[in-house]
Amino acid sequence: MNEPDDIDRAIRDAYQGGPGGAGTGDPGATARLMERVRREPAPRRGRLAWWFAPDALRVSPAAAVAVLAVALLAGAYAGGRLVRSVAPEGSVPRGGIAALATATPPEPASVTFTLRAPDASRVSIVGDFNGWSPDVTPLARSSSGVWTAAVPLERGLHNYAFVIDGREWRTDPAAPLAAGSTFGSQNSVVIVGGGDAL
Amino acid sequence: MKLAAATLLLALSFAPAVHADDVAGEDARLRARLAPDVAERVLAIVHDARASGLPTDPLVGRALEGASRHASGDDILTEIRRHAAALGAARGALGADAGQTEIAAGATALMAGVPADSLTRLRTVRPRGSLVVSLVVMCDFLARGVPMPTAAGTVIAAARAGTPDDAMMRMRQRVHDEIRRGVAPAGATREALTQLLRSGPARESSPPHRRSP
Repeated sequence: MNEPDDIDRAIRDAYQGGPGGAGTGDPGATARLMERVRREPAPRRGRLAWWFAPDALRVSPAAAVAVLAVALLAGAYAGGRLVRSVAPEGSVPRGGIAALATATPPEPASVTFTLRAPDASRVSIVGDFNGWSPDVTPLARSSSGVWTAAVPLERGLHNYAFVIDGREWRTDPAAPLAAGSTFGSQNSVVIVGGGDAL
Repeated sequence: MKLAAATLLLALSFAPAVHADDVAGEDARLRARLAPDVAERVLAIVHDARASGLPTDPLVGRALEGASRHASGDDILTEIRRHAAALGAARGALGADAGQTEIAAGATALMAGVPADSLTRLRTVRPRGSLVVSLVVMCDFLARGVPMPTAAGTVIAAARAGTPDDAMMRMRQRVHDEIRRGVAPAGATREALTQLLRSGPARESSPPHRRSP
């Protein structure tokens, strides 16, 4: 798979829906794999085999419900701590900004946009989240010429651009680009939330 | 239990009111920023899209973007019509249970020239989990000059290998960095896919998330 020809073939097949490209794969592959698995020798049992061998467990429904409830409460507590540790104080990791949060962020999530423009006297951000109005979300300038703004964003996909000095529209060099152009210009894209959130 | 039921009923009773507020807000924003005749025609398209169960945020966003870019009314209407058609086509290609954000991302891909069957193929190779990141990466490749078959084929091949979203985004960054170093877009993409498959994308992170209803 790592040879150039193999990669080219994988790309071509994936695009054209060739062998395996549509994900259906070789229809006989599963049968062959299962046959190979069946021929595998049974694993040897060592001293710890008792711990891992399947066994019947007799538990009353009441006890099962109680154990399940405790497990759910513990899971909810641990999950809450995990989400807080991934997104401290309600902010998504900034990273440039292609703010892809793999954990579920709070809503709205604070996303930090940055742009280096030392010669600009005014920078703002326009996007789906502020009605594309250049006056709504100005960026603050640091001494090094980096402009920054933290913007609360709902989960989802947002197109945006920077506006320099009220006239020059610029994409975010650190973010994915939206393909094609709307009204003759390109936009950047930010994704907030991941997995189930999208 | 009674308290939970009462809370649920209260939330359900407020839901239509909140939805109506959203719609009224959208209408007001469009009327405030567009010429009256353009606003009415855009609103008609938006209302049709909503009635068809399509996402309307992208349409409102494009109309407001057009206003801010000082586009003509005709250009705004052309863009909104094109976008509405792409939203419908994206839902057809991705399946009836596609999420609203997936449909929006799929529409952008279609408008960039991605064939509808590539979207369907992407859904086939990744039946569970959101396709939003995959579609964004595909569009980003196209925007950076990667030829269509390579851009779409790379993302579909990566998805087929079980690549999680974060690894897909790292592949995008790798391609971006290589292009900035002067590597040809197609070559950069091929190399990024090679590295991804060599490192075993499915082992890098958790399996794809279950898709929300």
